[in-house]
Amino acid sequence: MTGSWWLRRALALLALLPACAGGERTPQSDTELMVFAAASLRDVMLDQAAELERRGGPALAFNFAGSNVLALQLEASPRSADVFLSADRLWIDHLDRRGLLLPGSTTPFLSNKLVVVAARTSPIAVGELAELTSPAIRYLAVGHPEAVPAGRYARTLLESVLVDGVPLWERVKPRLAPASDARAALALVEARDDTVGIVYRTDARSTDRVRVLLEVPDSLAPPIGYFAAVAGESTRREAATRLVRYLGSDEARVIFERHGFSRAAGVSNG
Amino acid sequence: MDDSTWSALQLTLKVAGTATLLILGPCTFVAYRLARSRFPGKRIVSALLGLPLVLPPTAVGYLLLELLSSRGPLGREVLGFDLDLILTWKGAVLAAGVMAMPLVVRTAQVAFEAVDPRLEMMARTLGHGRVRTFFRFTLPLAGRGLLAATILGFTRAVGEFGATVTLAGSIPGRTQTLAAAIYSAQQVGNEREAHVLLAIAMVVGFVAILVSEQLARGHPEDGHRT
Repeated sequence: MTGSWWLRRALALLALLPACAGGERTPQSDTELMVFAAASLRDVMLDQAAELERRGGPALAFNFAGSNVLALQLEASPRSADVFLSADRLWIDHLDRRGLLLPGSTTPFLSNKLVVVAARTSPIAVGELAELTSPAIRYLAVGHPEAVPAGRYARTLLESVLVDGVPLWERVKPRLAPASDARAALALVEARDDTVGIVYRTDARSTDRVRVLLEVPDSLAPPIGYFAAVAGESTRREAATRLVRYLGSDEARVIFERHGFSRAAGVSNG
Repeated sequence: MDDSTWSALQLTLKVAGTATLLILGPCTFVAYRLARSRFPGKRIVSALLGLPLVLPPTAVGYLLLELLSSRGPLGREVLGFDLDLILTWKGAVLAAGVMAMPLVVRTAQVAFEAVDPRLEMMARTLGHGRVRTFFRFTLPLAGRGLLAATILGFTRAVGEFGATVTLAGSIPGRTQTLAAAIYSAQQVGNEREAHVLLAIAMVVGFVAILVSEQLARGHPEDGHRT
């Protein structure tokens, strides 16, 4: 008796859940754009938001995480974002295939570089990538190499470098410490002196607790491209489209370059 | 079950088992003192020990990380050697142990409080020493409650996530427990692995409940009935 009463209450609550999730937006979010942005864009996008606000543009609210996490969240709840800023093409395509992005809205807007870092207090030195096999290195921190863009770039890089005929990737695999996003890889590096990481140059610059051991030479580096897109089910597509356009503008570029990002030129759209 | 799933399960049981074993003795001792003795600051001690129960697990993990980081008060530069607890399975044991500790202490304390102190006094007047009284009479009388405390602590350690990932990370095969593996599989969009892990977690939980109920029901002479 009481059992079935509780069961019915529980079922009724469950039935309410989708209604809550898909319900009206709160008044606050009517005036702001919800931006799902790759974790590596945190500092620079907060600066961009302040700049936009200063110019009387729309207020921005952010959800920062690995692009993979954001894409999966957006897939689960397509109306929760207005703009998606992905650190690679993979997750844009993932959403595009499912019809969750505004067709034709995808714009490459930034590029970045990879660096090898260690904690400031670490004695480790790395003069070239092949030295990542050094026994002094206990962990190699990267974004998750199958999903997090920074990790996928790092993997592509290490797969392309051969040491004694074997891809460096195979050599370092046993000591990989995969992180949930690019910034989390940085935190792993900060945690232990015998850990090195492959992270974005911009993330390395964001903290004084790590130092750059090696800048990945352009000749080896995989092309890194950030893409902006408007969420297909956004209720504020016009404002969202204007934001995407702004991110490609010269005004925005000044702020991006101040943080160490480079322009998207040279990044293929495909 | 592939390698990473299997290693996550193994590691989880190893971490939770070790953590439970390590904290059991000290927690029992502290619980007994809290149940039986009066001492200045008892409430403060009790509240401090209860903190991990009410703090966000990530706060506990962060506190441990700050204490143990190379320049922290328990770090390499201060101690002169490395405790090697950051990003290692020993760190996962520490995090799980700290998070499970208040549950074990509180449950054990209740178990000791349920033992009639007059029985202990009788044992003492019959010539048993304090230690002997504790091991011969108090401990068996509180047995079932202590068993419950152990099981609660173990299951808490199995499920611990926030403090563990903060201190030990989520490194497959090394520090990635079941809880962390599920989170990671979900984050990277690996649905198949997430489903397998979810099924394993449910089976482990189900077995834990069955076993604990069986134990609680079992040997009545182990505990006292009132």
